[in-house]
This record gives sequence, structure tokens and C-alpha cells, in this order.
Amino acid sequence: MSTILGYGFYPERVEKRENWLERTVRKPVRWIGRDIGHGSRRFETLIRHVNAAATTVDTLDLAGLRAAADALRPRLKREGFTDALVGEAFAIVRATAHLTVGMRHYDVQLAGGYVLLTGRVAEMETGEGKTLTATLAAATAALSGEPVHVVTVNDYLAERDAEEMGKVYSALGLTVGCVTQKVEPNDRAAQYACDITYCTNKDVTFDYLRDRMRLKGRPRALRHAVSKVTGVGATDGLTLRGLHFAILDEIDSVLVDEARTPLILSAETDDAGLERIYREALSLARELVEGPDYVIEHQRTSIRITTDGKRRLGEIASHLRGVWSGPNRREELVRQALTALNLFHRDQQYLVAEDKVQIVDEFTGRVMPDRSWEAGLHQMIEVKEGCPITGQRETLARISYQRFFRRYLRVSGMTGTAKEIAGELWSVYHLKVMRVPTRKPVIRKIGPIQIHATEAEKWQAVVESIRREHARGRPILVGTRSVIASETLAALLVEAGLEHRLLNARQDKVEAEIVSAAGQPGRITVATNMAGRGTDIKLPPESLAAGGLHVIATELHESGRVDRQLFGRCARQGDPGSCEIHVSYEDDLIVRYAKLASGVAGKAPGKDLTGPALFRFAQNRAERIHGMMRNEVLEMDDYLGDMLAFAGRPE
Amino acid sequence: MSSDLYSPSWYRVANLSPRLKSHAEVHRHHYRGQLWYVLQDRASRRMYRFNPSAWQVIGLLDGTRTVQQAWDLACHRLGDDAPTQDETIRLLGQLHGADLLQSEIAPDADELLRRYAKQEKGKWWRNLRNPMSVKLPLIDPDAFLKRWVEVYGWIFGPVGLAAWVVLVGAALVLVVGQHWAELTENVADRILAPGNLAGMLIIFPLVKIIHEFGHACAVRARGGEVHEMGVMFLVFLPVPYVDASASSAFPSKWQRIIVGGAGMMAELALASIAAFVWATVEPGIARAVCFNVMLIAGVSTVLFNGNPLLRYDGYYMFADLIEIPNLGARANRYLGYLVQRYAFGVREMQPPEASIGEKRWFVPYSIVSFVYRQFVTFAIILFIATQYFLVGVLLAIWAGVSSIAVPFGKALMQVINGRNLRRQRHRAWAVTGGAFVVLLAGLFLIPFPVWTRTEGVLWVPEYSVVRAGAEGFVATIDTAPGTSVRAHVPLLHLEDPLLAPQERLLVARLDELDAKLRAMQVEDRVQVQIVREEIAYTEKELARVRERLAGLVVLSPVEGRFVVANPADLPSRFVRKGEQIGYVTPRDTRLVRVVVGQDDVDLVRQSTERIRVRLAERIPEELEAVILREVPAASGELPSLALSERGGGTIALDPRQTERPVALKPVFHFELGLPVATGEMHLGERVHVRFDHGAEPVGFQIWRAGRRLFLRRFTV
Repeated sequence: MSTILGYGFYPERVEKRENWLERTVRKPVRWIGRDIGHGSRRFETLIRHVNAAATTVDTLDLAGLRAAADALRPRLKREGFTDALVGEAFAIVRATAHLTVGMRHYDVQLAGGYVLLTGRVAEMETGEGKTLTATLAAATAALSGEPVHVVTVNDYLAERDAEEMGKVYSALGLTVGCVTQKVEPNDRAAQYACDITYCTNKDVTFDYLRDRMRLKGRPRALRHAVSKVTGVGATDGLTLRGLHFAILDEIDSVLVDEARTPLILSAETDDAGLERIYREALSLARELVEGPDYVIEHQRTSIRITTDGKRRLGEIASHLRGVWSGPNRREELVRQALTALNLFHRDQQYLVAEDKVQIVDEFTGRVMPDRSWEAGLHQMIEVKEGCPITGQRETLARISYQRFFRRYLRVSGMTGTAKEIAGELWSVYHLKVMRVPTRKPVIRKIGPIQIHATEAEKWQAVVESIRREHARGRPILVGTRSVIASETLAALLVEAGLEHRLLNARQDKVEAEIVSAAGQPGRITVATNMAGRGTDIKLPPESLAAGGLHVIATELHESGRVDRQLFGRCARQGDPGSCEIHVSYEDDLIVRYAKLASGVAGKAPGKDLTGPALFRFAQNRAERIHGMMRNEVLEMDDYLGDMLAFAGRPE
Repeated sequence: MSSDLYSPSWYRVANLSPRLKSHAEVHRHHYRGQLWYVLQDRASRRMYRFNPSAWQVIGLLDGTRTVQQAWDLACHRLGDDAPTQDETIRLLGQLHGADLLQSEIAPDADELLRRYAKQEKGKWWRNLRNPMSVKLPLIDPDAFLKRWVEVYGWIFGPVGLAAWVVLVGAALVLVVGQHWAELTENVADRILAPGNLAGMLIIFPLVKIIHEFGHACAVRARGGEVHEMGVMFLVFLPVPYVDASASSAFPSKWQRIIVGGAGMMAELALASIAAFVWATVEPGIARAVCFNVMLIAGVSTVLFNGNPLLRYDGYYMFADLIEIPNLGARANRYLGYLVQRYAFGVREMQPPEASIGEKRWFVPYSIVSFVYRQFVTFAIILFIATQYFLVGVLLAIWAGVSSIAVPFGKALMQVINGRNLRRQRHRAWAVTGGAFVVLLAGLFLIPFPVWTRTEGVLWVPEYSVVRAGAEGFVATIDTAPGTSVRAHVPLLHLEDPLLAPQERLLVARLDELDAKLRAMQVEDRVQVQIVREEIAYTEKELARVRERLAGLVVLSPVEGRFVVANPADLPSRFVRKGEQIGYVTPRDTRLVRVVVGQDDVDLVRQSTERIRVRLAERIPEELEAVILREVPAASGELPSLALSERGGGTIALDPRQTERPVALKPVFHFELGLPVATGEMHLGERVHVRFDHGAEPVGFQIWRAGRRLFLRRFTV
């Protein structure tokens, strides 16, 4: 089985360039990964080993378990993750968890732990206890001496998991660290020095970038050794110990949804003259008319200034000097201004709070306070919203998640929805997806797609549904695609006199509390699709009796996975639950990806048979386009790497 | 890729302070009235061309300024002409890729190694792709050339040029002009004679060595360095080559053209000298050698090296002349751009940098040179294949793969995978597929007329030939030649002076025998029997003589016009029995005897829909004809010498048959009937015949022609 990782100075995987064969094969064989490995026989073998070990292990008390764990360490180091040793380790962890936090791993969780330990992706239904599953792999790897990073998507989850599961680890003699935004830079190295570190994807990536900056891009063992001896070019002060083993929670959102977002380490610079230029750019842009002067293209992602527009721009800008005298520069700036005006909308792509423009993640509806858009664009949006302009930020280093996580020596992950991206995970990350069976059969009822002609009709129908289910005393969770949509619905609910809780673009803890309380009988919760991911909605007996959680999707997301994640909120662990989907022909998905097709299909409301197919088509198309873009980012990275080779190694 | 003003990767380079490596030399050139900076890498012997704005940035990078500072300065100075950040990065990347950039940071070693491996692989692939020109560097002639430059340097000056013009001009006027007939007589036979081919094989490399030294000396005479000379295997024939790339740094295009032309000039000078020698010496080996030298150095050089469509000297001279460096590659790239931009609709595509004048050259050059190169390649391969079948087939596969499949495959991969087509992939597919379908439809669906062209002669049917029934002298001409006659009307009377007395003699003899019989009838039965036999014999004899007498009157076989080849010779001419005297050309039948080569006979037989005929005398007039008769077997016989090459036709005669004309390759005969109202015609007249086979898609036509060519060439 896998060998133990983790010796040497700052180990990480050297990026291997794909050769011609791999590149050629990658695209056509994407379907290979779609055949998800079930591996039930392996699971059975493992469970047999665990149970065999359990006969003695389960009789031990905490001190005995600690001793057993200590005894296991050298054997793991020596022999690696053999089935027998892994079984023993899992049995120890299970018994420890049972004694410390009162949770004992189910067989399916053992299977999941095994998938994680072997560097694969475990597809587990939501609510199957992914947090607990991760402890098996994390503890076993840590016992073998590998530093483990358990990567979660937000600070709240990192803190919660570190705290809850920390008891298990410390009982086994393992140290646990936790890195969130709150952790001071000085303290971080200590946290990463623990055997197991819970962190968020963003923090660990930025910490890595900082390390790379400190190392000037060359984490080389020899250099390290030399500087240790000579004291020249000291390499201490590093935050991470290297990239050994990462267990990614919600791996699909990190490696796929956010894969393209580059993380940029930047420093602020001052440039007084810029603000005037941005103001001028915006005022020029406002004089152009959509249609004759510029066109919005490519699913509303880019803007092209027409020849007429360029001429008009030349006339308008003729009295301006400096940057405005040359057409290329002028057009570039105005194009950016047009982008700021037309493609970025308040409360959809960003919020304005405390005189600051804050980016809202379209997927999660969360505010990302540290992020900013590319040079110029962010400032123009600030000018547009009348906020004080922030200084131009100068990039120091950047890396995308897809490149960063490929540098781990071993990556594994968990998610509820991997089957759509199994092909991509295999071809890009060489990660195999294994489906872990559920403990109890799922009894979720998913209603048919209800199609409405207009958005207004859709909202009306949604309110009706809420009223109906609310009357039955069921808790209701309504997922919206954007922040603005959630507010629209909230207003309608107020009008209808339905008491509800609105959850959008707020942070971590409150969010998780709202979500976890969403299971109260008769509770109506309106949330953006991904809000509160990773938090269980626990249902009290009254709610269960009323039929469990009812989920209403008010729009199909560009990615079918996000929809499934929303549905996964109900009917957990064999609970009852149901979902319904409301969409309209005015939805963003259709407007962006199936405008032409929807025109053909006609806009007859209700039982139009072409409807569901149309939405599936739009969703497929969107996913294909996104997949293509991710692939492009990878290729572009390689290309840039080669072109910029004279500037040293990439970060 | 878009060329944004600001690049997200800028931070990687902003604080570097690189500079050019010291071995790079810079030259100012003017191309089509524009200033360019040419960077010469003396280590790798490669050239890079930069426009002034790019150069501005490079020039500002002196090792102390950072890229950011240099870019800001350039923007300040050049305004909108300054390169964007993206362009600057690409520029630096290119310089690094050319190993011309040096900076305070160690470059990414992985990339260096990757690039090196790629280059090595590239070299290997190039040789594999083009097995017909594998290069083998042998010597560095620079030191030698440098020492001797004083000796030969003047040749490339005005004096040398004038002397060259005089020499070549004199050879042209004095030798070639005066001995033109002697030189050109039977050239093909002389060249392809086995002994001569061997001589050429020896002379060819020698002449080419002089050619290459021409280039090398020309470069050195202008101060350029020449560091590589070697042997290239052009179609397995060792040919020397020289690396004269240093010349591209010469600022004046005329200097570059002289370098390009120096090889040919050297050869022409050599050919001129050979011409003088050829004119003065006696026939013998020396003369044969001179002839070959004239041929190789004079003719083949101009045809091959001078041709701008092939990648030899002529191409470089041509590119220099019209001031478009790297014409071929850029022309192809531009064509690719046009397709992507307009056919595939990739709006973001940056047009390759080129002036309008250059663009005008690109499209026609790219297409014409591609077609011509394919043509030459496959002609050479076909030639080799006739000698060495297997080698030829291998070469053909190779050439097919490297010059057709690889470029088209690459283009296809671009359509499938190309980054810049990502937003127009569907359109690209549609256009490519559409073009392919149109091409296939054009080839296999849209019928084009098919025809076979051949020649024939006007002919008469056998029954209309006027023959002498007996031998004799023409006595009287009853019907004047050229006039019309009815059937069975006497045309001529022959005269045989012996026949009439003979008849009389026989008649008398019969009388005598008759009397004898009557006298003996009662006495001797045996004698009677003898005499009876004698009478029978004599009667037969008489009948024969009378028949001959009757034959002396030549009757017209049919109704028509009496035609005699030479009417003036007719009176008193002696004709043998059965000899053809003339024809009575019938009014209603006009025959054409046509020969068809065996390649086409099948088509003519199977699917002739219409036959159109033009008479040599009256070309504009087109006549319809029908097949009357065909000879089912092939033969070498020709109906008329007019059809043979010797008689001005198209059919080669077998030189081994001296007695009568026999076609080299068997032909099939057809008899065609012309319409009645054809008007005046002359027998034996040449007739151009076109068999229309209806229409058939071009694809099938090509397939048949190719198959035929293959079958004939390789007799498989």
C-alpha cells in the first residue's frame, strides 16, 4: 500500500509537465474517471481487519488506547499502510472517538476513512458524518509521522472540527492545530507544526505563497542545509513544513468551483493620478450606448467596443490628454469601465459595506473581504459606487487552487457530489473517486421541475409552496442563487406575512447557527445555495413527524452539483425529506447559456415537455464551458511558466 | 490571446533588471520603408527582427533599470505605440527563448532543460520528416575564407560584377547563340544516356561545391562569418551546403541578394567557361564533361536554385528583393490567421504583424508555393519509384505524411483543441466540416465532363477502293478523276498488248482442236479422249484470258466521286492486278479511322455518349460522328503515318521496326462515320476526335487516372 510520506526539507510534489501522450489522452478519456470505483470488496476486507483488531482494542480504556497507538507508530513507519495495520489504527481511533466524543464510526465511515487514507476522493452522501470520517485517515497518517492538513472551506468549520475532533487526537497523543483568519502570523508556524492541522483552503494557500516568497521560490534541501550551517539566507521563519497530506473537505468546491480563482498575495501601492483616470474612464464609458457602441458577449462575460464605438470614443476623448491620447490605452480603460458598469452589479457580484466594495462569491453568497478584482476594475467599481478608492494593489505572488493542491504529495477529499466531476478529478489531479455507500437508504423525494414563464410567476409559486408546507409544520429551506434573489424572496415573504430567517453574505458562525437551527418545526429559512455547507440541519422529532425538511430550489445553478448539494440538506441519514424545484425562462441560466434554444422551445408555461430538457441543456452547456475554462487556466499556467522562465521559477 | 495593456503576470517581471547578452549584435535594417532592428545571435546564428517600439524597450533594459522602469519610460516616450505589458512579457520571453537575455535571477532550470530536450527532439523530427534533406555539418571554413578574402574579395565588387557580366554574356552570345542547334539537338537522349548519367553524378557535387563557395565567399567578402559547411543528402545525392545566415545581418538588401545569388553566379561563370572550352575542343571526353557542366551549372541552376517557389537561393533572393524576410513561414501564418479570423470568426485574434504590401504577397505565395512544392516532390518521388519501386513507395508515404498529413493534421488539431478557437469552436467545426463536405461533394458528387481526345484520319470504306482487275497500262481514261460517276461505270481502260493476240491464238487453237476431234471421232477412241481434254483445257485458258480482258475495264464500285491520288500520272501507267488506283468516294458514307491508346480504350468502348470531330482543315467546324466498327484487338499498325510522331501526330513509333511504321505501344482502331452533309474532304486528312463519356465527378476521374498511372508505371 501507500508508503509513508514526509521526510526531508519542505517536501512537496514537483510539478510534472504533461507530455504529449498525456495531453492527448486526457480529453478523450475523461469518461474513464466517471466510472466511479465502488471498491466494496476492499471495504469488506478492511472492515474485517478493523473488527478483528476491535476484539482487543474495544476492551481498552483511554490510557490503553494511547499505549496501543504509541505501539502502532513505529510499525506504521516501518511497514506503511498495510491492510492489517490500517485496520488496527482505525479500530483504535474508533474506540477512542467512542470514549472521548461519544461517537463511534459506522462501517461506511471506516470505508470512507480508507478511501481518504489512500489518496482518493470519497463520495459520501451529505450527513453521513464526513468530519468524523476524516479523523480515521488523519489520525492514522499522523501516527505514521505524516503531517496532515485537514482543509475545510471556512473558518467556522475549521475551528469547530479542530475543537470537536481535537479530543480524539489528543487522546491518541497527537497534537492538533487550527489555522483560521484570526490566527496571527507569528502563531501560524506553531499551528502547522502540529501533527494534524485544521485550516481553510485560503489560509493554507496564502501561507504557502508567503513561504515561497521567503524562499525566493526555491525550497531546496541543500540550500536549507547550507544556510543552517552558514547562517546565510536563513530559511527559518517558514510557516509550513511542506505539503505532505491534505484531506480536503468539500473537495469539489475547492478543486473545481474555485479552481480558477487565483489567490493573489499583494501589497498596496500609492498612485494619486490613477483616481482621476478611473473617473474619466467611467464618465467616458457612460456616454457610450450598448448596441451601436459596444456589445456584451460570451454569456455576459466580456465586452467588445465596436468600430463605431471606438470612433465615438475618440471624439469624446479628444479634449483629454495623457493616457487618453492613444487609442489602445483609451479603449482598454473604457472597456474596463464598461465591464465595471455593465457586468458587475451591486448586491450580486459585490456588496458595499462601510464604504468598501466587497466581493461576493457567486457560489456561496459569502463576502470575501480580502479579495479584489484585477488592476483597475476594482477601483473603477469603487468609483462607480462612490467609495474612497483603495490603492492599486501590486501583485507579489499568485497561485490557483488547482496548482496549489497538486503540489501535495498526497491529496484526498470528501464530498457529497463528485460523480459529475469524477472525470475531471481523474484527468487533472489523478484522483480517483470512490462512492461510499450510505448507512441507511435515502428516502428523499425530489419533485419534478416546475417551469414558469416569468420570474414573478416563479416567486409567486415559491411563496405558495412555502405557505403550503409551512401549514403542515415542516421546516423549510429555500435556496437562492444570488444575494439579490434571496432579498427579493424575503420581501415577498414579509408581504405574505410568513416569518422567516434570511441568510446571505454573512459569516461563518452566525450562518452555521442559522442553518443548524433551520430544522425547527415550521421554520422558514432563506439562504443562498451554499450557505452553511458542512453544517448539519438537525431535525427534532416534531419536524420528523411533519415529514422532515422541505427544500425549495428557486433556480437551477450552473452546476448540477450545487443543486444536489442543496437537495442533500434534507433527508439525511435516512430521515424523511423532500425537494421541489422552481425555475423560469427568465433565469440567468437560460439567459446566459440557452438563449437561442429557449427562443426555439417557446415560452409556454407549465407542462411544456421541452422545458426540463432545455434546462438540462443549459446546465450541461454551462458545466462544459466552465470545465473548458479550468482546463485553459491550467494550460495557460504552463504556457506562462515557459514564457516567464527568465523570471525564475514560478511560485 | 488578447493583448491587454496590463498583464496579471507583470509582477513576475516588473522588478527584474535584465539585459541583452553581450554576444548579440544589432543591425538597423529597412524593410518596405520601415525601420527594423535585427538582432543577430552569433552563437546560434539566428536572427530576430524587432520593430522600433519593441526595440525601445529592449534598448532601455541595460541591466540597471527594472522592467517596470523601462516600460514606464517607453510608455512615456512612445505613448500608444509602446508595447503593452503582455507584449513586453512576450518579447522578453522570446529573447529568453533565444538565449539572449541575462538577468540577475537564475532562470527556471526546468524550463531550460525542457526547451533543450524539445530542440533536440525537434532536430530529430525535422530529419525524420524530411528524409530527403538530411544535413551533416563537416567543416568550419571561416579561417580559410578570411585569409583568402583579399584574393577573391574583388569579385563581389563592381569590377568583379562587370567581369562576370562580360563573361556570361560572351558565352551566351558566342557559344550558345551560335551552336544552339548543335547544343539542343536530341538533348533528352544525350542526357539520359547511361554513360552520361554517371558523368553527371561525378560532376554534380563538384559544381555544387563551387556554388557553395560562391555563397561563402560572398558572405565573407562583406565581413560576415561563415562557420558551417557540410553535406546534405538531397534525394540521397550528397550535395554540399553552407551556412550563409550571417548575410541576413547585412543592412542593404542588394548585398543580401548578391549573397543569395552568388552561388548561381559562380555556377553560371563556370558554365560560361565550360561553354568556351566546349566550342574549341574536339569531340571526346573533355567535350562531354564541358557539356555536362554547362547543363548542370547553366540550366539546372537557373531552373531549381533560381525558383522562388522552392526553398533554395531564389526564394531568399526573392524575399530580399520584395523586402519580406521569412516570407514562406509568415505567408503561411498569415493565411492561418485569415482562416481563423474570417472563416472561424475569432475576433480576438491578433493579426500577425505585417504591412499591407506584405499581406498582398502572402496569400498567393503561400498557396502557389505549397502546390508547386508538392508537385515537385511527387514528381521526384515518381521518378525514383520507377527505378526503385519500394524506395519510391516509402518516400511517397513519407512525403505524404510530412508535407500533407502533418500540416493538415496540425490544422485539424488546432480546430479540435486550439486555445484561441475556444469560443468559436462550433463555428470552426462547422466551417472545417463544411469545407470538407464541399470538397468531397465537389470531388465525388458534382459531375464534370469526361472525354478522351485522339486523332484519326479520313478514310474510305474498303468497297469504294478502285482496283485494277488485271495488270496493264492505262490506255484511256473514261471518267476524269474528280468527277462524279454512277456505279459500275467504266472509269479507265487498261491495255495489255499480249492479251488480245493470246485470245485470238486460243480461239484458233480451239477451232483446230474441234476439227481434229471431228476427224478422229470414228477411228480412235483414245485419241478422241485426249483431244477432248485438250479442248477443255484450252477453253478454260480462254475464259481466263477473257476475264483478264474484262478486267482491263475498270468500273466504278459505287456511286460517288472518282478520286485519284495523282491524276497526272495516270495515262500509260502500268498497274498490277489488284493495285489500288483510286477511290470512288461514296456520297453517303464518310469514314474516319481513329486510333485509341490502350489506356483509354476501355472508356471509349464502355461509355461513349457522343463523338465530336474536327477536321484539321476546318478546325472551327464541329461534326458529330458515330462508331461504325471497331477492331477488337490491339495492333501496332497505323492507318496513316500522319498519326505518328514522325508525321506530326501523337503516337510514338517503334524505332526498332524500320520496314514499316509500327506504333511503340499497341493501339486500337475504330471506324467512325461522319454525317453525310459534311462537304468537301480530303482523304487521309487529319481529324481531331473527342469521345465524350458523359459526366463523372472529378474524384472518380482522379482515382482512375491515378490507378492507371500506378498500374502502368509499376506494372503490378
